[in-house]
Amino acid sequence: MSAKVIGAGAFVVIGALLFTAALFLIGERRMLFDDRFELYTEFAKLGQLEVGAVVRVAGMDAGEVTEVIVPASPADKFRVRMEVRDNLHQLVRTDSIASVQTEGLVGGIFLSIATGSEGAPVVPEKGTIPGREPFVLADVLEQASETFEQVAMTVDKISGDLETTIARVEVATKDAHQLFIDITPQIKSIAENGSRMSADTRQVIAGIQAGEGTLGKLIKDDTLYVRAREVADEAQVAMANVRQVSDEARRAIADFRSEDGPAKGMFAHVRVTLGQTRDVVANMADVTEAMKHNFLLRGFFNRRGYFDLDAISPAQYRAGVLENGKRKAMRIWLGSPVLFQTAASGAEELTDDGRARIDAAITTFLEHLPTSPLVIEGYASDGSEGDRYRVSRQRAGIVREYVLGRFGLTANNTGYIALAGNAVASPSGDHWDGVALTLFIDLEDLKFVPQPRSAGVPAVVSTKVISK
Amino acid sequence: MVERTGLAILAFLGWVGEVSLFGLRAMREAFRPPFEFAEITRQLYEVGWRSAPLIATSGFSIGVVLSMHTRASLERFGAEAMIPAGLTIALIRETGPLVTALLVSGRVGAGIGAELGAMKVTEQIDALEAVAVDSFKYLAVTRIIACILALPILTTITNVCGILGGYLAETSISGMSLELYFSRAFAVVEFSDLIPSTLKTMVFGMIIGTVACYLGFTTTQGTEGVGRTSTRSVVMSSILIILANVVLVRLIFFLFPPV
Amino acid sequence: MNHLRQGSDAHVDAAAHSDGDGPAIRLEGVSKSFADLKVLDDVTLDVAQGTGFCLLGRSGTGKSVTLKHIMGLMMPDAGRVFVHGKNVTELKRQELGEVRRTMGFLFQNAALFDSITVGENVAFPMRRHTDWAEEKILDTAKARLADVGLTEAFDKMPGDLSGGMKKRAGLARAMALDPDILLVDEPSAGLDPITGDEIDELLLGLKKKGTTLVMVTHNIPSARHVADELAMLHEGRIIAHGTAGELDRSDDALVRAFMRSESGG
Repeated sequence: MSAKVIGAGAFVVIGALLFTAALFLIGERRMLFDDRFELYTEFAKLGQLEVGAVVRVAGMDAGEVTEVIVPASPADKFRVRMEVRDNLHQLVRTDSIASVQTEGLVGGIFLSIATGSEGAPVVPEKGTIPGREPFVLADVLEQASETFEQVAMTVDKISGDLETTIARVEVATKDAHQLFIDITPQIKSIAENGSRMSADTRQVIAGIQAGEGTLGKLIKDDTLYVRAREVADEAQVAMANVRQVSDEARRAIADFRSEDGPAKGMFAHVRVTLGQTRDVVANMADVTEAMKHNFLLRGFFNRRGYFDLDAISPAQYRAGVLENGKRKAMRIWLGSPVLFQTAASGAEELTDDGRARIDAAITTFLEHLPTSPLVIEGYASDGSEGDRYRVSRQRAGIVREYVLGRFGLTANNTGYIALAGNAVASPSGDHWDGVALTLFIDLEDLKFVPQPRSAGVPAVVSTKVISK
Repeated sequence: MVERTGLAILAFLGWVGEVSLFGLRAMREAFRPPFEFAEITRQLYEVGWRSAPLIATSGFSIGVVLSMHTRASLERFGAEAMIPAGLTIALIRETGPLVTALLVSGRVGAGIGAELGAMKVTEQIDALEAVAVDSFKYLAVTRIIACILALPILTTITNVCGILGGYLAETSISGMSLELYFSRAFAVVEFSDLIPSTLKTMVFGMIIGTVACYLGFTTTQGTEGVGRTSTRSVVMSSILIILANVVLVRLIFFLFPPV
Repeated sequence: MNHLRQGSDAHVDAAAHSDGDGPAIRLEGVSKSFADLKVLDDVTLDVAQGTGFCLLGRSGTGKSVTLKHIMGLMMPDAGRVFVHGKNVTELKRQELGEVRRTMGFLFQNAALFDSITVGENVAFPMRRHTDWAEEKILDTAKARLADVGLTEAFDKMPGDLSGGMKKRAGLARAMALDPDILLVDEPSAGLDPITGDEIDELLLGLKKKGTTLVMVTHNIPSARHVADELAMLHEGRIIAHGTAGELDRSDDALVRAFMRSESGG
């Protein structure tokens, strides 16, 4: 009898312990047992974010969404209240950005908070941090489909206009005629690709709406992406050629006709349509960029080699995650003594000489810049590990700002990363003080450029020291 | 045909009514002294402790199998990371409670039915009454209470063993650590997943105990009747559990809307 | 009714144990049917305090059912059952329990609880209804088993006993609480003659100590030996009632034939 009593007791106790353990695991996940602070953010679109969703600070589980306050009018935003573990408070600064993200394919929606910058103050209790609007796949697909159709339409139009132009110009000048004939096949090919691509897009979107099968196709099948790239590339080449042609044609026509001739109007038209094409291509690049941030497509873009620099650690970066079989890093090392001087405020700033050096370096890359990502690597070799990291980050940031402003590069394609003191194969060995301008260039791209523009710079350079 | 089906349905409803009254009486009696604590303990040992090995083994196997199935379906979406969570949710919300209840109705329901049936036909129940023991309280109430108490605990054991089984299946393929597995397993589980679905098994326990005791107490026709009671008790409690589950899940969704 | 008086008059010493307010057991017009079968049909009888009463009859004539009515294990379709002047058909559960505590019941098949030992079976009523120390309970249980000659069976399970041993163990359990009234259903069935006689002596001894005995038996010599009064049930009715001598001289051939048989079935 007593053995039975013990058995019954053990049964109840074990059961209660296991159940409590499960409760505890849930409670721990929801951070019920930690000190927490309250925080707000705002979104115009919630992107399925709900009360109870996990909040992560710099990828670490940090708390949960406790309330979603519905706005009073359409103009206002949803206010999202969350509770975050106190021991992560110092990472959440006033410039931290909250964004809604999805975890895996069937995973929950969670709220991600990026750590703020060193200089910004810690966000106060019950403070509000800015929110980045959630990226919704459906929106992008819609946008993409519009874009693709626009490409097709524009390209059709260019093609038609050019045919007319050519026909007209033919009357005017034989030289110009010849030039237009040269470019016509390219324009036609753009038009064909454009329409093929929009058909593909429509198909893919219809598939996605129909069911999950095609979703996998979108992730795995890169036909669409390749098509888009091809069209964009061809459009660019064509644009350059057309511009050249139009210049020459204009000169020819100018000889032939004066101010109010019909030819000039036609060329103006050509320029406008080509301008539209360029806008469309840029638009597509933006969409592509947005797609890179969507988890569904992330794997796809990673495989293609496009990384979000925020998602790469310095260690990964040094290990060469951005390089692959086809893409190589091309570095130009610039030393800090030439580049920087210390301003009155104590912060570093670019010297005139430094600017000139950077200009010279970028010139080397110009041929590839529109298509290849440029990364400014910051290095610093003095002080503690923390100092080095901070200074290297500042340096990279300064140089990036300068490059962006000076050459009007797209921010999306121009990244920077702080690598503290440790460099891989720098001119001074395993460390560097200053920056390295690194172009990740596709070896295929190099083949298409018959001659580098500035003589003296070899076509393929893995390391080139400009100055120390 | 229609008429016969109608009569069968009426008979079933009438039977359910009788069992319900029996169960209601048991609930009423449960709160009236004297309380048969010693007997409840003994029954908790029989129903709970002695079912634990069966439950643990089954839970473990279910965990392994569920893990393999979840892997097969989630792999297609490249969402292997969701396997622990998917498995845990499936186990805790539905598989654990239902499988436990059906297993217990097989082991314990049949046992109680046969035991009480045999006591009935050999006049042991009368003998209890003859020594001035309230047989209903002593035999039925204690067993029903033991079932009600044991089911949530057994369900918890199924869940835990299932998650462990899932872990073994997972780690043998991906080498995932126990810590990571558990953190992922509980990544999407809420209190509202665990508590209502575990507590609802008390209703299953009530059904198993009540049906088995009712059939045991109403056993006639000797040894043959005992066998029939044992079988009917499994069949009837299984049907009622599955039906009750539909209502309970609906109720839980109403009270705790799924996120 | 008058012959019952006669029964109690015949045993003056037994009547002395009576508290004087009527019979220990009284059945008034009790009828009971199972489905279409009428098992008891308007049965009326009294059993005086401290006497031995024996119900005779062929198998299936409602003898065991009568015992169960006295115990309150069955409720009559019509009529009333009194034990110590209390109407058991109207008692609440708890009061019925109190009445039952003064009675012991030996079932036809002993009905030992087969999940506990023989010793625990005998100890069971004491555990339930006394606050005795464990030692006293076990000692008493052993003594009761010794009374029925089953000392060695204390630790055995009921399933390991023969039919006769079960019967004796059942009797030991029925006697556990020293009941005022002992209801025994075929105490000597399945026993060897010597053990049967020992059981009869035991019952006789209990009766001498003031216990009221109601016995169902087919064993006429045993009935003659133990009972002060006998009644014969046939087709749900009492067809004869009185002392053994009176039944021997009955007008009814069936009763006379029954009384002549040397041992029952």
